[in-house]
Amino acid sequence: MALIDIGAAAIDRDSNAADGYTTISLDNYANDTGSLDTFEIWALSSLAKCKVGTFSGSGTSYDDRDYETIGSVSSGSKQTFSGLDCDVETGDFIGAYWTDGAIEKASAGGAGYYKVSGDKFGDGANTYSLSEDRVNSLYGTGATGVTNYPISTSSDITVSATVARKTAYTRAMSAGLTAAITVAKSFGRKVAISTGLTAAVTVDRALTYTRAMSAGLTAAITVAKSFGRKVAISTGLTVSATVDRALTYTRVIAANLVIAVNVARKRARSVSTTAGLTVSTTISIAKAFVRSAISNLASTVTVNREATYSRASTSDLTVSVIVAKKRNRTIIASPGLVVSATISRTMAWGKAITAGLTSVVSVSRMWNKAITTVAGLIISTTVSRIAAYTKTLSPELVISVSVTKTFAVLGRIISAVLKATHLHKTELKAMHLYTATLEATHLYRATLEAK
Amino acid sequence: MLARINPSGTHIHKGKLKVRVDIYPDATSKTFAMHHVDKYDREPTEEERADKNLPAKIGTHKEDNPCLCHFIVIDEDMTRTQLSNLVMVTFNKTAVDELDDALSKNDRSKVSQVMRPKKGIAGLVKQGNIEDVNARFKDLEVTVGVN
Repeated sequence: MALIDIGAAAIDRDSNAADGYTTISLDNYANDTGSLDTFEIWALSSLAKCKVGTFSGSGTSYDDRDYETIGSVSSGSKQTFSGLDCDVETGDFIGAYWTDGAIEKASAGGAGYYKVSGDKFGDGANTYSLSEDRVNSLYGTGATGVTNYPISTSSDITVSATVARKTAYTRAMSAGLTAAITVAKSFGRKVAISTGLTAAVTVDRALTYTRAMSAGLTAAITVAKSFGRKVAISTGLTVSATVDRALTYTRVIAANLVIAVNVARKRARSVSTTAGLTVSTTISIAKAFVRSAISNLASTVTVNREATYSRASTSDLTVSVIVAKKRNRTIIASPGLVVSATISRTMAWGKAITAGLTSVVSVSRMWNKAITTVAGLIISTTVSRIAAYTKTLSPELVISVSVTKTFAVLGRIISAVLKATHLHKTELKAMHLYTATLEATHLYRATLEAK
Repeated sequence: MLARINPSGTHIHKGKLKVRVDIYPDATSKTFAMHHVDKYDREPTEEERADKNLPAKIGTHKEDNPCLCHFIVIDEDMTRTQLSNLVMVTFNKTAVDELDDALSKNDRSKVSQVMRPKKGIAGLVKQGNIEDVNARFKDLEVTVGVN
């Protein structure tokens, strides 16, 4: 809290200022902001209805910030007025007004004062005229940061305090009732309407409600978040276990026993080394492998994923269709044998609508390869994607179609003829021949040098 | 010392009713001589005040001025007795002795230090009838500065 002063010293001076004017002293403007609590005045003759206050402004226009009515001011000595509360801000000037009397002033040596006729306190901004060099005996002191709190000591003061968040509720309507409740973050409620009642409740984050309507009743409740576990070890228990994904295995080695094994997705292998032996194996989604190393050995393999279709519309008529993704392989390694390999995805379709009629359709993506390494031999290779179609409308009617791409190598002269030939023959009647040939031939010959 | 209610200073400021208590020093007080002053037998005229030499020709007599004019905030319904008691408490012997000493030394800081806490406490004015207040406390005098 710093001290504030404003105005010139209140002393006996060589002149005086007349009444009826509001004067603003320019000497010693306020050095800080706060409140003035003391004024000092020296009057030549007693002042009447004196007001003292602070002014702000500039030039010739000033407005009072605050003032106090101090009343009469005795003359002849410095009069001190205390207990005041006049607002002041830095740069403010001190001013006064009185209706009668004169205040001590100096005619020279001061900063001068502004004056205007009449009481201008509480009158807003006004225009003042300057009286140069003059100074009044008007002075004020105070302090910064003074806060006056109004305090009343009169009667009829009421103090009321309300405390919320109160959750306990106890109601007893009979004498001799004892209630003890311990609650942790809970809402407890207890109502007892009979004497001799004792209730004890322990609650852990729970809502407990206890109500007793009979004498001598004791209630105790404990609620918790508990985990229950039960273990029985006595006899007579039944244990039942069911385990899925089990492997069942049965093996019988005694005579006359029947062994049955069912295995899904199994690989079956059968090898027969005895003549005249017939081996028959049925495999479901299996790879069958048959190997016969001795003559007269017959091996039959049937692979499923076959669609078998039989239709007989005439007596003694047999239709057999076998469709498979079948790999048949036959290898004969002895001399004089004929090796024939047929790899096919073959659709065989036979239809006979007349007795003694045979219809054979073969569709294949077949690679036939024959290589002879003896001199003078002709190497002929036929690679074909052949669609063979034969339709016989009359007995002994033959229709054949062949497409050939041929590579020929002869002697030292290498010539290659590539042909893409579509041969279509149709005989509409017996002994009537229709032939069409489409050929695209590229012939290349290269001679590197003479001889 | 003697405390007198001066009705000319009764006013309302910032919603508070204030009464003025003038403290007159005893003859034994340090400030007595400062405020036992010559007074004109009559108030000088405007012409006399304009000439410094003229007032000196007016006859004078001795009068006592107050050494301090203090304002106290009171409730407007305060009784005469209550105010008397308040004045006696405000200007107890300690306060009066300190004031007499400080004023005699022109120690403004000390004066403020002693009197600033003695501004009084009261609620805001409701009626604000100053004439009624002054009539209630007319000629009220209280001897202060005694134990």
